[in-house]
Amino acid sequence: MPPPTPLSPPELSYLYASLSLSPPIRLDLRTPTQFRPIVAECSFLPHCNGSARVCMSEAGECIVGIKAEVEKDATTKYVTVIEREKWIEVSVEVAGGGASGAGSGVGIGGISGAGGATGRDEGDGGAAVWLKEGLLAGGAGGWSILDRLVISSGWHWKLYIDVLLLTPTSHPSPLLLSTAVNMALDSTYLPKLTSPHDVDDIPTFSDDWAISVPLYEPTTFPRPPMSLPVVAVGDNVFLDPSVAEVATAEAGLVVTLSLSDSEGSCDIVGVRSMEVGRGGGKEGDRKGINRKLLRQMVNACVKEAGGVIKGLGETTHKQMFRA
Amino acid sequence: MAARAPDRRRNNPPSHGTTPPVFLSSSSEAVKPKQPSRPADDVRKIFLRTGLISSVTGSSFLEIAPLKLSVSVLGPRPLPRTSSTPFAAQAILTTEVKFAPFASTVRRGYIRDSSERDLGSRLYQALVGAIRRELYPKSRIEVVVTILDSEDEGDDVNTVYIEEGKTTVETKFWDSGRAERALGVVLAGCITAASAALADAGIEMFDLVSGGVATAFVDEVNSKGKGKGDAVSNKLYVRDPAIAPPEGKTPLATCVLGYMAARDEISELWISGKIGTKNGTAEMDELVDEAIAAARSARGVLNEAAKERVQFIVDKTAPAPPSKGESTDIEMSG
Repeated sequence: MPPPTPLSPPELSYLYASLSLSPPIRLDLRTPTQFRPIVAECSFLPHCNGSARVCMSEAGECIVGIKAEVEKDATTKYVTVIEREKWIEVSVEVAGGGASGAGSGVGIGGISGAGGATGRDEGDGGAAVWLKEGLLAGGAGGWSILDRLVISSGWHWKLYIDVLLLTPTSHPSPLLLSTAVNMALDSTYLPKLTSPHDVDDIPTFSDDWAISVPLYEPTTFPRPPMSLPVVAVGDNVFLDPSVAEVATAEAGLVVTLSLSDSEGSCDIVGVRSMEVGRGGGKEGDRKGINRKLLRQMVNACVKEAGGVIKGLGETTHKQMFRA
Repeated sequence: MAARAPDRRRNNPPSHGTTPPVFLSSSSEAVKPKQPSRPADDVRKIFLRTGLISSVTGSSFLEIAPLKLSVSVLGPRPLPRTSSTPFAAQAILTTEVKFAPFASTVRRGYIRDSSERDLGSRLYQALVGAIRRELYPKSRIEVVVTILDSEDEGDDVNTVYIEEGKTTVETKFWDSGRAERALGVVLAGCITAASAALADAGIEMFDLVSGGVATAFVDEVNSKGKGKGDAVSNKLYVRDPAIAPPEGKTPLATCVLGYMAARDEISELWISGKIGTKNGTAEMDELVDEAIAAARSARGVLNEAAKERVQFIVDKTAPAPPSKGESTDIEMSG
């Protein structure tokens, strides 16, 4: 079920009418591709390899801590295959555990396990699934974050990405989670290896954090991925939709992008449909996305998001402890 | 519990189980010839039947080569009348996808894991728009999918080739996107079968949703070389991809979608992998078009399966008029 909103059918209908105008009028008078301001900081948890805290006006607040542990390569399932996907573990937790009740963090942004009543019991496992998927998918065909986690032959880093949502009663947008994870990954440092690369022995590391190695080299590409929600009302496409806009929208997508060069152009690393309220439209209007609208929605993300992601990256680099 | 501690007096087997190695008779022999693969734009044959489970409103069974799954649709049935139940102007749809414990190489537990829950919400997304939920207020429709058999990692890992004189086996990594392809084929099957089951249950829908998968592959050399432009030119799109990638190819992106052919609308979209944006969304469009083509071919099978119920109703109602004419008396005996 879509995130419950306190909006009545007439209110939704009014919103629908105003959002499907040309040009559309959003509730907060933003332009269709304008993002809301966020408060973000990183590298503030002393016990973590990387951390970030992001605050959004409506979606609430969340903290991400990334910890890395040294682990020996292990084969699961088969003797001959190392399942590298297990090297990264993502978990999304709602503070206080009080994730029950309507409008709680359960069913984040409508794209996690929001499958009606069965979705109620499952916490935020769904969010963890798509966050990890975006992280790994960026590696398809070439560069992969998993290559960065290799320490020496037989050893690797195991990365724990723990997301803590501090505002259980609000409706966290996928943007909140992915912005926070993006910043945390961007500010993650791993201790420098002092033992040789090609030896099977237990690796040793330098305890000097001044020479530690960034997980994502600040000047290289691709950068950590970022997921942007985008919704469509009528022929209009809106980036960073508010809760009311999601409730009104007819179609929604979460587009995961990663910056591919310094100009601010992005590669698509994932697209997922997002659950929306379909609150305002007439019956039988639009039941899915046609190809033209799909193109329009993804294009809006690709064109407008580059600058936002780039800006976020620059802010992160300014705040990092080794900046 | 003491039982938890490893038993040092015995030679313990690995906890995860192993598959027995298969030895080649001689190392000089050529490695197993690859099976002739089907053309890239061909989908596997689909077996789809409805109405196999009599105790539920609608059901279907789908088989695509190794994948076997059954779908039951329960309802629409009234929501429980408790004070905590919110008013529902539209039917509430719930979806559940569960792998049987024996459906994959590694045993799965009875509690749904995160990938199963994710599949469930993907399936929900695919179906929710297609059902005319406003016709069933204050009620619930449940779609339960049980996967009985699935294509797992494929034979290439179950068979270990050990050359004579060699004592160790080289470990290898999964290629990325393997899990996406495996889950994508399962999800597409779930969507197609669930539509058939909903049609079998007689639930009103705007259109049937069929599932389609396509994967874009590039040459292995291309992906390793840093060149960004050249990889674009020779992409291989495979509809309904097998788990093992084609020889010498490495996967780039996989697209799974639920497609309503009569309305030309995508109800569920899931793309995973890297897609360049040099030419805008052209690369994504190509991939989506391939997946839609796969969904269109599944639609043909789906139509036939949905027809079964119509035929059944026609057959049942057709003999009724002549029987009316024969005798107007109705025996009222118990």
